[in-house]
Amino acid sequence: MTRPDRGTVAAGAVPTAPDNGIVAAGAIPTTPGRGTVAVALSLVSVLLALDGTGLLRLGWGWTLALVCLCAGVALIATAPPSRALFVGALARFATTTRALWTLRAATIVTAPLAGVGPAAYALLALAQALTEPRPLDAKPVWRQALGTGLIGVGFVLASGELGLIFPDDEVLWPVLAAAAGLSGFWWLSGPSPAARRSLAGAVTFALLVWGAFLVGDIDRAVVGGLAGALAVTVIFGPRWLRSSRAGAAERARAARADERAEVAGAVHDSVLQTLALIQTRADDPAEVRALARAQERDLRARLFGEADPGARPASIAAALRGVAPEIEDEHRTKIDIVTVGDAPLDEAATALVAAAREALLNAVRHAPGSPVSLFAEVADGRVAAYVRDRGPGFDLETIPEDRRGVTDSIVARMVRHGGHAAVRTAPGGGCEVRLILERVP
Amino acid sequence: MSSPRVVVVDDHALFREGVRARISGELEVVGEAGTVAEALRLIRAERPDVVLLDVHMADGGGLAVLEGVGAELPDVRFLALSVSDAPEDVIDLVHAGAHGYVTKTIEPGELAGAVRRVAAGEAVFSPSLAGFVLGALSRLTPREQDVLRLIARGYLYKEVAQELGISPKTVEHHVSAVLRKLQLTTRHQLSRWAAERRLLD
Repeated sequence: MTRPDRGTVAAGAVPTAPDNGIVAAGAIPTTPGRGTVAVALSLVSVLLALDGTGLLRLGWGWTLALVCLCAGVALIATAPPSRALFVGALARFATTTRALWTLRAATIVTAPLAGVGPAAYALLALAQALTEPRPLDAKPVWRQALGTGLIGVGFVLASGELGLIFPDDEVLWPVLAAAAGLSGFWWLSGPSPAARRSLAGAVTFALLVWGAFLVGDIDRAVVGGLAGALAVTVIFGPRWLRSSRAGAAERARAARADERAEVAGAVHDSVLQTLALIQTRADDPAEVRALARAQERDLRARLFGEADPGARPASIAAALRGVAPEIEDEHRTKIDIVTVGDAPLDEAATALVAAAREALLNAVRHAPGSPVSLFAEVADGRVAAYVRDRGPGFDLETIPEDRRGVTDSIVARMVRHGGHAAVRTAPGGGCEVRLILERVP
Repeated sequence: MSSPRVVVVDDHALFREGVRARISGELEVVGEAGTVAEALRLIRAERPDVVLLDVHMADGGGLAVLEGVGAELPDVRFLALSVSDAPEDVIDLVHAGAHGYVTKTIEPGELAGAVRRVAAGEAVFSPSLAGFVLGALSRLTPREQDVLRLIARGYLYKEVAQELGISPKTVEHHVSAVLRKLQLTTRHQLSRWAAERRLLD
């Protein structure tokens, strides 16, 4: 069986949905013809002219019916041929051409009988939509849909003039409106879960309204109004749904594109630049190492959000971590930092951070190439920081003058803020500077 | 002692080569694997002493490898390698039975030393892992805290021993005890303790 078309009947734009079968005879074999349009328009104008001269008493019902029929035929005749339009939900139940024609005829003939045919069609279409939703990219065929709907309206109006409507207009039109709306919803809505839920809700509501009609408990005018409101909702609902879905998809696409552009920009600005620099400095291992290290830090900050270079550190740990990068960059070395615990950065702690910075500078100057580490622990109102290098170390008694100056400045700084500092070193054993701050909790 | 036999598992070929170049002088690298499946096959075939295991891999990572053969081959020891300095990343591996954790920026000499220690059945903590455990694990004895503090300060085991006036064996004993405690602690408990610590300060 061929896949039934999903752009059928629809009649999403007009308040009725007699089955498309009615137009099949004229439209399938013909190519769109302006002749057909001309004939239809001429027919309408002749009839209206006769009516106007009083030769023919048509009345509003017949006039409207004729206009609808002619406009519908004209619309379909000028639309691109679409065989699919004439199959619709019925194709699922009719495997032979003959059975299809029978179903079409039954649908249109029973339309004036309380809208049984179109309503049944609408429910079939909905059942189909819920079980195998049409693909999102299926294009609605507006002209055929509108034309089909107009022809259906014309047929029902003509039936009304001939007195063939049962039980009466008040019942028929809301039912047709609901049927049109529901098949239109099916036609327009895609396979998203949200669309399906709305669809199921609309069907339930329509069935309730229909049931109320059959039972006859509710005032017809009220129900008719409700059904009309439902029809409007289901006609415009799916369009809104679709456009909002399209909007969300569009926004997501835009966000993805932005992110890609940002990543590409960052990669270009940092990684590619660094790689280019590394190529030109390949003969200077220290420089290459420094470039790689700086790049690594930058990427880490981006990927893991480890640090925000522009922000002022608010805590002791963050401030200590912020000290390392500039020293690493300047002295082409690597500093390992481990912190345990944390506390807000007050004045004394700021002094400790500055002292740690001095100690780190000291270490990288006097122990070039050896690993330098900083460990800080904040606990129980006490801040302790240790700066350690694995350099040559020295004899405290014979330290050079410049180094003494630095250590003195470290010690003095700590003492001024109520802490203390100590240097421990031995020739060949590296050097460790301890900075302790006893804080009043 | 003969050279430990090592398998390197990392999804970056360049990094595997780098590691091989760094340690092959001192250790015997018997194979490399770039995927979890390859790693499982290789480890079952070679039964190495130590597997150097990348934490972050495209197809499940070191955890998948550890869970695949960890219980089946209890004699094979695992040393986790991570590019990240965040020790939280390797807690899962420690739970799954890894004997230690070092960052990929570790000095070449230290890496070989760490592999030897793991091969000998000891635990290996990088300074950052020691710092993390110190902050997160509340059931540490004062001595264990002392040991971890010195490791976090960058001391080698023998320096820790010297500083505390104990034997290197005792240092190893403390570190192994901490590793066991870490393996018995859930990730949830660790993060809760860590958060409480930070709140107290």
